Amino acid sequence: MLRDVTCRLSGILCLVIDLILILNVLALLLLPFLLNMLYEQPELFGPISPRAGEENPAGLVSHDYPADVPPDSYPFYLVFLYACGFGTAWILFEGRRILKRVAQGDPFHARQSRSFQHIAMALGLLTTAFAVKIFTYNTFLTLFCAAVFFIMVFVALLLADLFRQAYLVKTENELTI
Amino acid sequence: MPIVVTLDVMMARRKIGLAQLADAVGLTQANLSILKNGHARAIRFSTLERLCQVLDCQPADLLACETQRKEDLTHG
Repeated sequence: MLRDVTCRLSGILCLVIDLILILNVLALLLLPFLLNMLYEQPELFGPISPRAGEENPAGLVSHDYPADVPPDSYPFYLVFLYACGFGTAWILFEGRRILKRVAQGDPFHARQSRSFQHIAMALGLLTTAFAVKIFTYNTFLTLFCAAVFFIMVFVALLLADLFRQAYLVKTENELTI
Repeated sequence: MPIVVTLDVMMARRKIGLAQLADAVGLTQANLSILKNGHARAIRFSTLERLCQVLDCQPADLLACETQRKEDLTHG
């Protein structure tokens, strides 16, 4: 019964991930247009407010969140957001694969470890993107995200090894008559 | 693998087929085939006991050690 619940939950999660993945791909396709629109209409970020004691320089959008977005940062943010979007799409795709195998009743499949390794690589890409952003347009949230993604790389590698060992144990058990 | 399963030899001696033996022992034909062909990684004592009961033999009649057999042949 527990196995049925696990399989059903995995199936439902798969659907949710499918939806998020579609939105992710759509966002990637429309990214240049959306980013251009935000740069041309900065009020879409929220109310424009200068820092205390400073006049708002022309073209500079100043907010508490997100960070300052000067007009010449468009190329950087385009590349940065493409890298992040590709990384998240990769993670969602591999996560979907993992959940599909769980839903099919084979959680300790030979390829599960590989999927977690791919997730670790995607997280590495995200860590790199945020690390570059630290040295260009740094904010507290950038530092936080970079640290979190860095730690998650090791968590994904640990899970990859765990599933590899689980597969070996399962195979050994299956071949014990 | 040094441990060799000689189940097929005992099955031939007792003139019993795979399906019949699987049914008697309580294993699936697939699992018994894995055991007979030497692809199994391990065997449970309970399985070994049932095989010995059905085939009326000892565990040594079903299992052999390859390195020991080679030494026996060398020293003759």
